[in-house]
Amino acid sequence: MKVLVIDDEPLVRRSLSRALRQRGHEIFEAPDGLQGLEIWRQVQPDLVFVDVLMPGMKGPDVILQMKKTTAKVILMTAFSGEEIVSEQDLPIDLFLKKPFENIFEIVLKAEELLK
Amino acid sequence: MGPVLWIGNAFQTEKKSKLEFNEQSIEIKSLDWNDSFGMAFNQSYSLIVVEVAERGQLEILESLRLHHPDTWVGVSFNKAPQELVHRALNSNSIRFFIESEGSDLIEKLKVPLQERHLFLRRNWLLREYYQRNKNLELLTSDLEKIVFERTLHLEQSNKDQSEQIQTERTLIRFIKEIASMSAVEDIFKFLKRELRKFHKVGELVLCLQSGHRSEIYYFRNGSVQKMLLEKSFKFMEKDDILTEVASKELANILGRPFAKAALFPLSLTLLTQFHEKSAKALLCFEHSLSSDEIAGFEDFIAERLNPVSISLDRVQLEHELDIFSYRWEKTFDGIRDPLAIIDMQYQLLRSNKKFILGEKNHVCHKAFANSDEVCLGCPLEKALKDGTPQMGEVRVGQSIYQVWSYPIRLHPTEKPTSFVNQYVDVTQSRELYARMLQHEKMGAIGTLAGHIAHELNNPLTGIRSLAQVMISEEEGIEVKKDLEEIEKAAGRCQRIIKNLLEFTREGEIEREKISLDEIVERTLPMLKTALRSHRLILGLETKILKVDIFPHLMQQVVFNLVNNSCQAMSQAGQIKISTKQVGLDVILSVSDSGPGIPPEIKDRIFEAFFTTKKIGEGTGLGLSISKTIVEKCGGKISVQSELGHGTTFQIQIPMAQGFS
Repeated sequence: MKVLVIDDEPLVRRSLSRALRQRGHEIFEAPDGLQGLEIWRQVQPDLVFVDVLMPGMKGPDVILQMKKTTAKVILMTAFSGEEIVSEQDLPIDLFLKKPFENIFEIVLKAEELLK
Repeated sequence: MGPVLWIGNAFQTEKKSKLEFNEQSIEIKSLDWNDSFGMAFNQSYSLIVVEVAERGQLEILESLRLHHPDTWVGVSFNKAPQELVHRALNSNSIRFFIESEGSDLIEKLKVPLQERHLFLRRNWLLREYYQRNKNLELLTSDLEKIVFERTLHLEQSNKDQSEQIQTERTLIRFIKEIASMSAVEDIFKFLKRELRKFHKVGELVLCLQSGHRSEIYYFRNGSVQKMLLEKSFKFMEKDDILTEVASKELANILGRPFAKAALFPLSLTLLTQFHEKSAKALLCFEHSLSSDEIAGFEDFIAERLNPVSISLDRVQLEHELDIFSYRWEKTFDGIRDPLAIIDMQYQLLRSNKKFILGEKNHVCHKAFANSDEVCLGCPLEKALKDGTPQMGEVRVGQSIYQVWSYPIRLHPTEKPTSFVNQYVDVTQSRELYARMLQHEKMGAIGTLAGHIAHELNNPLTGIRSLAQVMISEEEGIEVKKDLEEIEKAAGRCQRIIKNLLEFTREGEIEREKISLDEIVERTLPMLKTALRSHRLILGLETKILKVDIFPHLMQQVVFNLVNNSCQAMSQAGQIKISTKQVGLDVILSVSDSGPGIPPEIKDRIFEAFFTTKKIGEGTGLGLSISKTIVEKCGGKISVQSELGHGTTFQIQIPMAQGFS
């Protein structure tokens, strides 16, 4: 499966990539929304991790740009992003709060979505 | 003296036709019987001497005498018959005789001249005497009349005067007495006493009116009664008062019949000026005097009306002034801020009770600040210079006063002579303001901490997740152990941040059944810095006993209590946090080995904004908020402290249902 991780925090991108790669997925990383959308258009991933707060384009805007996508979308935030999600009625499949207790649990949850 | 006329011829022989008599030269005229007698009748003479020789000549003598009644007529015989001499001697009209025989007739003439002279002189004197006597008599009579009149007049005026004096004495006594009176009732009683001599004058009534309020003074059973009316007397509204109308209205007010009324309006000019509205007074006498008798009574009253008016006016004004003065003083003394009336030389004219902070003194700064110098920052001098109210700030001991100097002008164009100084204690509001700033700052730091915590969450998530990935991939035991430590540390950091976030989170808070032990454990990581230099003893015994509380708020309480204890100990000390069950309650204690709380402030430590820390070090809200939270959770907070032996704060909270 092709997974795109859009997050401005390199360690988050890296840890997610490493964990997902262990499970045999193909990983694409983007440090901001614009690059993320670019990659999304090129590779048409099956799953996208998007962080809420990023410099430049914010996570919810990125998701709104990915219209008619077949990809599953996971929104992540270190802030309490519930308001943002409910306000904009975003087409997301999972909402994750940082910090993660265990990265592998996240991977498992993601794989559940892809089934 | 007129000339002498000699009729006859005897003198024809005399050579001298003049004689000297009494230093006068007297002419002697001589007529012969043959001469014309015109001269004898036409002129006046002092003496006429007729030389008689025959009878017919005596008759001429007689007619001459009749013609000259004031002239002495005498005879001189020259060989006259005896019978003729006798007749002449018996005649009344002949005043003297001259012997024509012999010589020196002139010398002989001097005798009758002398006699006549004496006679005339005597006559004149007599006349004069008589005349003067008569004048004197007239004068005496006039004088007597005058004396009589004067005496009468004197007697009358003496009587009048003594009456007048008596009346005036009575009046003076009246004025003296009435002037010394200090109450309307006294004046009223006094008037009643003065009226005793008028038997047909009965009760008197005093009506006072000021604006729409009226007072009426009257006698009932021998004592003065006063009635207040919330209306004006109708009969006093008009200037021309009808006695019948007054009688009727008074009868209505007093509730009894009222006989004839004699009315005497009094004027209350001072009171009118004072109130700036009309104040009237009226004396009303009930009487049965006839129309003849009333004049005397009216005169009696009229004489006394002015002093009565003046005294009543004065007494009423004094009464009003007393009330105003009393109100003013009470208001002045009742004002919470210190107030003082001060002159230009900082002499205290008047001050309220709050003003005297130092010793009683006539110098304002001595009395207020116990200082020999003018208070630094006093705005009085500026107010004196500018003539407008000025504000300054004065410090007395620990207190800060905002001082206003208001100039007092007795006349708008005059320079101010004194000042009202008002001192507003702004110490507390200044402190509150400083603490509010501090509080705001703390709030900002809280928000900032939240943001920082969020920012840290991102890399921490990465570190921990990456560590977890690396642990799963790593083969080397040592490296794996290191990575596990990193993962654990990152996990700890995450928990601290989580707690911090929850601690600073605003908005809705929810109750939760949780043990106080859990609360303590969640809070301790945030207190590591505070606890660094002290020894912490934990005695948590209620892990399984839950209480129904607001966890995040209770964390704040634990944080505050432990943080306070740490700050109370300037040197390394010991802090003990323990929980235990007592009956149906769980008790959390936080004890320190600090200096203890002085008894005088022990009761105040839970007050908002009360702090012993310097401005900027504490908000003075910690314990107050803690108390509010504990009570909100249904518990109680208390403190035990002994100077030199530390302090223990105790929170007692009932166990949640199902645990008790």
